[in-house]
Amino acid sequence: MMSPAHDESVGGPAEDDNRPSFSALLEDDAADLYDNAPCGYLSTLLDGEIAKINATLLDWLGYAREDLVGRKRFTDLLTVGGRLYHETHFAPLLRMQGQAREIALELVAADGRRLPVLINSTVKTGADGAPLLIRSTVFDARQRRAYERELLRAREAAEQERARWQRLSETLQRTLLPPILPAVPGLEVAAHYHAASYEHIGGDFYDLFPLAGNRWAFFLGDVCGKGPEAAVVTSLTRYTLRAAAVYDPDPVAVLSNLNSVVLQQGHAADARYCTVVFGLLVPDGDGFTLTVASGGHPPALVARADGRVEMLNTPGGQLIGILPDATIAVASTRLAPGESVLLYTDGLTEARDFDGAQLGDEHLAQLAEGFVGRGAAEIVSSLATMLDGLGDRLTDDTALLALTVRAES
Amino acid sequence: MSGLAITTRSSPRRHILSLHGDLDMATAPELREACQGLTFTAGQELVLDLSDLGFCDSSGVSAFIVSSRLVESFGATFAIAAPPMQLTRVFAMIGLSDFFTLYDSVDGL
Amino acid sequence: MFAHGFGCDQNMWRLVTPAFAEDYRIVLFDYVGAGRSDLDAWRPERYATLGGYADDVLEICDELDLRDVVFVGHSVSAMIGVLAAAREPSRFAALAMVGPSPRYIDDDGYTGGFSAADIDELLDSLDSNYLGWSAAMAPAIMGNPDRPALGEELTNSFCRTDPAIARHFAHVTFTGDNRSDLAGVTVPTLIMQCREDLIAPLAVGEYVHRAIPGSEMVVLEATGHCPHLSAPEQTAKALRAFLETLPASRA
Repeated sequence: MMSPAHDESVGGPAEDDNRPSFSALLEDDAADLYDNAPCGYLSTLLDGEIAKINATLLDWLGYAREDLVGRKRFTDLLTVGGRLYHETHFAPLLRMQGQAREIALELVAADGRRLPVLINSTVKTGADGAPLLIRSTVFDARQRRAYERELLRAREAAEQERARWQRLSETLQRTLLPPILPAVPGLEVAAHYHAASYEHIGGDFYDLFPLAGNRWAFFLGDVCGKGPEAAVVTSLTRYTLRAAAVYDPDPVAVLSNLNSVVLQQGHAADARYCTVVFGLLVPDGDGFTLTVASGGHPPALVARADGRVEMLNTPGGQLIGILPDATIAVASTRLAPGESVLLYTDGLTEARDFDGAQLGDEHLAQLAEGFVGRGAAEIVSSLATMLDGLGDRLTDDTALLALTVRAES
Repeated sequence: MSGLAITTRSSPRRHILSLHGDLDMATAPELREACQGLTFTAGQELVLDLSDLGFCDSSGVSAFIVSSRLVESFGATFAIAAPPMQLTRVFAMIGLSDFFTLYDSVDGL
Repeated sequence: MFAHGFGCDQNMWRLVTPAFAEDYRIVLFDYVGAGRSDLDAWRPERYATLGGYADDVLEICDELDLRDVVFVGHSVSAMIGVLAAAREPSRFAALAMVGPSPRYIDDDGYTGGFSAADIDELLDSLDSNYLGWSAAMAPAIMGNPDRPALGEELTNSFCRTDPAIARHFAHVTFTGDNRSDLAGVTVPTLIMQCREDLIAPLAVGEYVHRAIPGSEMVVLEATGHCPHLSAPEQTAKALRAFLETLPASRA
């Protein structure tokens, strides 16, 4: 390994080269190369006792050879924290693998100075394969370590920032949804919000609230895009819908109002729109009359008591916030005891199953056949379980809201 | 993560932007920028060729709307060619089926 | 059941376990966060104390329906074994500790061997080596031409040690204090102590020996914190001698 005639003659034919520098190389000898190499060399016994050390490393550390050889162990040259790291990581790795590369440690010099180094070690084995000693090369890593410290600091700062952003996102997300749904006489209600990621605040929203005359209103929708700009529209939408419903609860009037407000808020460079279903529930004997208005939103599903599943179609309804005279489509039905209505955002129908195929409206309708005879809580929790099971394949946020008319007890 | 590539063919009568790849929150701004980089004269037409469009979400739909407004502000017209089936369904869902001029393909334009 | 210590995984036992394979059922595992464990299962709250790791040990016992367990714990696992045996004493036939320490940081009248600042330094070492252990460096660490399979396996597990988890485990390990738990050990206990061990010095081993009623202590003529790697025969011999003193147990 240290043969100069072999190692150093790479530059050209040796015999008749007259360059003085090349002659000097030939006169170089292994011992001198070892001692004065531009890196530290260190050989230790298996228990770490220093057996051999080169002049370069002694010079870096400010020790005389006799201070160390046969007297100290490699770990004596480390900081205490470094010793812990050595015993828990470096030494086991060396034992198991026969070598360890680029281990970052700090050596402590005779005067207490700390020298950041990178160490490569190999275990030398005898002819029978039994380990004999450990050879290490030690590289001065002061500048590299300073740079790495900067990197680490930057990484820590970035991680803190990310954690802060996530907390902020989660908080903001919560303000866009009701903390709990109110109890509605005669109805079982349940909702679920599945956030695909907290990197981006989603734009899905829903709410359920009382109106005068024992009536109840609810809405569910989806603002285009994600992030803070979408959250602004989501927030605006939520409060506008609540206020508009109090002013005039007619579903078409409510969504027309919303359209005007979002349109005013928007600007040309950024077509921020939403799709939304707004519903009004009026008690009607043992059930409710349900009137829904839709602005470009997927149709609500109704699970009938007799097992049929219907889509509450609202054809022609246009998205909210883009067109000055958006068409709002309306549909009406009666919900008898045991019957349910499910509202959802397109995260549900765009969710991809294991084959990458979208769940789709048809599949959802099939799925909904299983809703018959079950209450809102069960319907929502079965869908939520399915969404959770999709994991990363669910790329969009999804909101679900289900209402079931309670059967008379 | 798949991206979006946009190729442009221009003639005095129309610009044709062909979209290859996905149009989503990450790539929608590229469509807007591509439109802003063009010059329009009154009566000219911008056609978005979507025959090679993959995924398109609500950000993409929003970008179509913004682009159409930009084009129309110059007195030019906006059209979409060869929308994928899924997008046609989205247009129907959100009530925009009649909002854009639609072509089956850019062939013959 | 062999339990690895901080910084390693179950591979650490490969030189010792063969000696027991014939007579015992051997259970090896990686703690959550180490080796090939499912990192998604790691929760900072669950593993905020060694008790969370002890619960995992008990879950393994329950899942495999283990009885008469001889729990061999290296380093921090010795204390995890103490906690597990305190929670379900009936499961365990014996504890065998390799390099145990109930507290690493010096305290009034107690010498653990380290100061709080030393532990911070270890955390710094972990951080600076995290850069070295990045995925990009992995191929360079892989090679061991003579024992390629071993090299690959170990590197994989070392590389998989998530730096945030390693840091957290180091903190829990080295700042904990389990001295008061020792007196509660009711099962036969062996302490295997290295003659020279920077992490768990002889005095600490003797402290554990005194604190656990009826415990046995064997001093191994080995240097370092991992006699099961550096002196596997001696370690296995001491363990076997201890096991032979027990009433028949086979787990």
